[in-house]
Amino acid sequence: MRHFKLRPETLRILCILIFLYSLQLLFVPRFATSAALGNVLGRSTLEGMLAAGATVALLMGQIDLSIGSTAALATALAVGMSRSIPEALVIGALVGVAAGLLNSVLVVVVRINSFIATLGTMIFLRGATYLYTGGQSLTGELLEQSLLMNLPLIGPIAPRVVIMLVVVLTLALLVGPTRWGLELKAIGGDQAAARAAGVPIGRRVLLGFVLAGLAAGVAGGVQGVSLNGATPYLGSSVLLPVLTAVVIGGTSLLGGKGSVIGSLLGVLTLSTLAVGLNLLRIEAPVQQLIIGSILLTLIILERAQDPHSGTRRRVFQWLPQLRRAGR
Amino acid sequence: MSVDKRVMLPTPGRLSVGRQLRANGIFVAVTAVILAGALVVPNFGTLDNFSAVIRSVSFIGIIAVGMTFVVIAGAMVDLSIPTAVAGAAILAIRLQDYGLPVAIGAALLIPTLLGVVNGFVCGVLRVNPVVGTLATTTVGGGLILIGTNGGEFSYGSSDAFYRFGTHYVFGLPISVWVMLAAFIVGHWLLAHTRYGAYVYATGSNYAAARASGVPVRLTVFIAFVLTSLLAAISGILIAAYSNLAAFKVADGYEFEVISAVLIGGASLLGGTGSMIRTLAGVIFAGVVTNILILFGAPFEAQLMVKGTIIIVAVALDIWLARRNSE
Repeated sequence: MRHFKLRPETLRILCILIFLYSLQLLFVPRFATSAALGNVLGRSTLEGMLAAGATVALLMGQIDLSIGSTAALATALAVGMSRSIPEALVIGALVGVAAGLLNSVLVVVVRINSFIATLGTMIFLRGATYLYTGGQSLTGELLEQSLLMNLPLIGPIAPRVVIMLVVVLTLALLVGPTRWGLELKAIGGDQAAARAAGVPIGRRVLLGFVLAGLAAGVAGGVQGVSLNGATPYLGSSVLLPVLTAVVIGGTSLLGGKGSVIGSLLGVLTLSTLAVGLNLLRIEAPVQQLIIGSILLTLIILERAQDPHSGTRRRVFQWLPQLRRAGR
Repeated sequence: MSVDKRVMLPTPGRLSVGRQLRANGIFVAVTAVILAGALVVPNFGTLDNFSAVIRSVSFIGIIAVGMTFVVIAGAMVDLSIPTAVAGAAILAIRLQDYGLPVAIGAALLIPTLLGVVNGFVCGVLRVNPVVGTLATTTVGGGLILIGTNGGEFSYGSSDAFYRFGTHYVFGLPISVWVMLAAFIVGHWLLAHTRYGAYVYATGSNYAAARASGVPVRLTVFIAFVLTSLLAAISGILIAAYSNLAAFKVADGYEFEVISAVLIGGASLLGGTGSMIRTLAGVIFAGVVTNILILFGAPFEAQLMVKGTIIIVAVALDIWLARRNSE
């Protein structure tokens, strides 16, 4: 059971989320409503699943840039082809698995650096999405289903949020306390050591990419049904919020350390912030500036705290000098 | 240490076909697509088309010089290029009321500051460049959007600026000459100076380079500053050519540039690549895009072909490398 212990980073982001939420409850008008909570959760469905997938890739020391394009293709196919919720989810999942397999073949078999491989599939899948939609927005025949997906079930929680939570928690359980999850983190931490310890690296990385793709595909399917429509450029600017959420959730970009739950909390934190800023009528460019600054500050702090980087020593050496200069 | 191993191969007489292909495959590929284009594609061989291709190639090529330093130094990628290009274009157009020197000076200086931040975050603090430059590009993009009222277009008022941008020197657009100059200076820096040697050393083995006294952090820092400076120059040339500036002027340039560098055979792991091969990669990507456009291929098909080319080029490179080492 000791594996279920929360990582300090996860606890940190949980505290930040609770603090931010309480702050906004007190100071942001109309934030203390069930609709606002529903809005926060609704905003988190797509990015929550994408962040969970991205976390799995990062844990094993890889990066998956193609999640946004995978979700876009899954959305388009789900809207264009499905007539029911299960159909849409299955189509999304199939697209996701196919994209994950493509990525993992390129990374594991051809041994291309995951950054380039997923950059290539990102551009390729985006092109495929444009091809399928003809470059235009699609409207599906899922009006009733889309109403159902957005209908508040328990309090403000809609079915699409439930699906997101199921996907994220499943991934969290898979990479959390299991032997498989530990092996994944071992690969991300030190690939040579993991190989020496007998971890079948190829098969693990393959499965990791398939899971990341699966999460993105299901996210796309859910998005398709919920909106009853698809745009070819869906998810093209999702990389920044997703990576920001993953980083503030405590997942290391160097691999080996992190948690899916932390990433979910990171997504919820960003959604909370976005809903609050919207209610305060702060414009999108300023919001972009704020979120970018948060990411920049956090990655710099992360490096500063890393005892191996030498940055901490450096910064603390600078501080007294700065103070002296200030006098 | 200062030269690309693939260009300086041992005893030319004993090269196997595989090795030759790996060392010079990109040049074969460039020649092949140009020949194929000239033979098969209508209107490819015309002077107008040639002029259009090299102009569109030049805007990407100027930035690719900087990105080659970043990639060889092992810092993977600079995703902030669109922001630097757009920022330079917007400053160059909007500040023309204060006189051209002010406009061009600001357009060179301010985007280069973005490179200084990139270099500090990714070079000195050693943050993963994908995330580090993604963060700086978001902050920079936010600032541009705020400054331009959400990304409004702006048009130039200076005739001299527009005339400069559309000027031809010895039959070639001015931006092509700038690109050639950038490649020559870049090649000299990379292959013939101590800094170039530092770049290869940093990229091939960071720890070893550091242990042997290479200023690794400074090397990566300079590579990022160079890239932003070149992106700013490219942005000014784009603004001068079109006489307008928009926030989305360079959307997707980061991927075009990194594709060209990788197609040229530089490794994302750092330590390999050369300026001449990057130039070949830039021309290859430009010609392929041009052929697709002449064939009337829609935008989506262009995307799919580009994605495939990146993967095939890198896979081929890895396959040939593995075959040669066996």
